[in-house]
Amino acid sequence: MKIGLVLSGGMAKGAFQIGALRAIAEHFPPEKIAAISASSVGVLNAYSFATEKLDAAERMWRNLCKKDSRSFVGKILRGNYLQRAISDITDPSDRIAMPFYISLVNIRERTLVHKNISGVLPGFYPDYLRASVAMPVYNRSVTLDGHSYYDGAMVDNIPVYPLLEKELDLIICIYFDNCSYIFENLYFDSKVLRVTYPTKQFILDSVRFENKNIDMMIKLGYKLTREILAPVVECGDDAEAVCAYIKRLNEKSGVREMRVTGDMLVTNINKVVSKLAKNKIDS
Amino acid sequence: MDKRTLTILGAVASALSTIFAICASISWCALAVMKIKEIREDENYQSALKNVLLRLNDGFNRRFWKKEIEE
Repeated sequence: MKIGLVLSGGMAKGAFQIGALRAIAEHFPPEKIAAISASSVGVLNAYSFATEKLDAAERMWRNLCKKDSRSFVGKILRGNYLQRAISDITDPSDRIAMPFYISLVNIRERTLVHKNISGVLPGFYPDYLRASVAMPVYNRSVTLDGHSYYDGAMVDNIPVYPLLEKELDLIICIYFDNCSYIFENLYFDSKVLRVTYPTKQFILDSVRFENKNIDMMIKLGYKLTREILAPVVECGDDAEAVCAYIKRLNEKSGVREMRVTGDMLVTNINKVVSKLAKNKIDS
Repeated sequence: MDKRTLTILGAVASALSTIFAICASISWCALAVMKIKEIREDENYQSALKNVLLRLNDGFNRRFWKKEIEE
């Protein structure tokens, strides 16, 4: 069975993905994963998974909380530490075996780039990771191949797009807004297994870099993912049975929502403006 | 003039100025609407509007996010 992995961004909520990735690695270690696509903090977690460094990633998350800041501003500024923490999970000997797409935005050229970093020289991995968590205003853009990039999560936080053409049997998608989204098209959507972080404090949880909170999220990520993955493991290599399981899960989740991404918004605005312009010109 | 007469005169003056202000606003709005109608019927305006829309559309096409996969 060909398995893909999609990890979204979410600042402090990213700790949930560490627990989730631990549960995934128990049954599907990196060598069984055919492709990965991630954005923002998901890139750091996915990188740790792909290079088998989940322990180091967990340490990185705990280091972020060492000096608990009481002020709200202090908590927000801690997001900046993500860039500095990259050295905790990268090593010159790192190699990524599978296609590994990270989302980057080139604001000047208005381009959302899904860059496969498994093809770049390992020495450049830290630069790409830094670019993937570079938030405008917080951080400077990172220049790669002569283009300056920021975090791609601003345009598409759940980057399933690069995996559309990969003919995968199962896509495990970890994101944080607790909505049952419909992804891209119905065929692709039927293969997406959603692991979501159940929270109502969407923004507050994003800036809670506190030991207690990080601990709770790692444990919750592990527990929830194990529960969701158990029936998949039972299906073995039977891709149709996995699809049927995902369908049952989707039916159980009730109302399903279309995903509103920055990319989708501007495409639709563009369509409306085109139509308006055409009507006015024809009239 | 006694105090009472002054008060009445003040009240009348203020009522008249309010009425004048309201009348002036209404006539200004009516003039503005007429002017807009006139402009809308003008061919130059229509072509200018088309131009703006075309440029806007062109801007959207050119400026908003392109999506690329770099292997």
